[in-house]
Amino acid sequence: MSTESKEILVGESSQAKPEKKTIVLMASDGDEFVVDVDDITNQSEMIRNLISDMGGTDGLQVPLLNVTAPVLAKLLELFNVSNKNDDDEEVTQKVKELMEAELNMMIDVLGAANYIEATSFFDLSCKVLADKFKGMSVEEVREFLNIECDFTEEELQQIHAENAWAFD
Amino acid sequence: MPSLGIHGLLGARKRFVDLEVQLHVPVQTNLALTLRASQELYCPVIPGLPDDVAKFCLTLVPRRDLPVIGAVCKRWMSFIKSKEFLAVRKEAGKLEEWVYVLTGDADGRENHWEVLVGSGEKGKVLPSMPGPVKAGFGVVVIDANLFIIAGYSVDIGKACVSNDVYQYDSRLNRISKNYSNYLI
Repeated sequence: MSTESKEILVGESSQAKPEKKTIVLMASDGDEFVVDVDDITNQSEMIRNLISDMGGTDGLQVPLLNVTAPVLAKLLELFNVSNKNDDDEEVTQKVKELMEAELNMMIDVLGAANYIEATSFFDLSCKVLADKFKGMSVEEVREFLNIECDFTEEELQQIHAENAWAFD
Repeated sequence: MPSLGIHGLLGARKRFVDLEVQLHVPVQTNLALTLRASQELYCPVIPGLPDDVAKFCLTLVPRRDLPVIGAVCKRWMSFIKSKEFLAVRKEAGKLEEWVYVLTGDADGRENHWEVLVGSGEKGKVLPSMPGPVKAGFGVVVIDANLFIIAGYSVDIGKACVSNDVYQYDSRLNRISKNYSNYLI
């Protein structure tokens, strides 16, 4: 009994070294992404819990029904940046760049990060978006996010009139 | 006429949360109707994002930018004014304590509200409340709103009881006159 378990342990450790453990993430359109287990569990709470619930990673395929392939690819790319850097500076910069270049993609990535519970990446991305509003005018915010103003002229005047002080 | 002096020192709006239930004070009569109507038609807070995510992003906006955020559209304004906003902001550790101080001379003239903010920021002086100068009014802070309730006007020559209620909303940075007919 004791010798048996010893053998298994030896066998496992000798296998673990040459090849890294991976799992497959499936995007909503069927595309498969092979990812390193450590890299993804470092980011995603959902996948971390899933692996522990399943009791292992062997042949694990995780369908992500809400995430399309391009969004998943972008998200994994940003996870890579985050995993490679100890601080958040680099990945914050990348998220900012993405927001400026492709806002819709950034918003989809944010939604996907929420979906797979990538908490720290999610918090960081939300902050990037919130910081974008700093010092913006109302019109600029509307234009940036393509939001329609649904106040009547009268309501707008009231908002303006009731403003107590301008923040300096 | 009683002297006004330093009338009140109020802080910690959180403590007054329960009062809202008892007072049944509606929010912003004029806008309330339109806000309610708009909520019936679904539109996302931020196009492309689940609403809870979008709302979380809005709660991270620095306070000084909130008046701008509140003026973007009705959905955003109703969220900024909601209890939910305060709850999420508290969770994110972004809630500030404000102390409202009423200063004035002995005759009740020249009185004004000052806001003392923790965090080493410079205090703010609220512009005078609209309408006649009043004394003997009630004051309550509910969530992020300062309410100045009733009292009597101290305009020269006559004293006249008032049932006006003024509201300062610290999130939207707005002073408005509210529901005069609400109080008996």
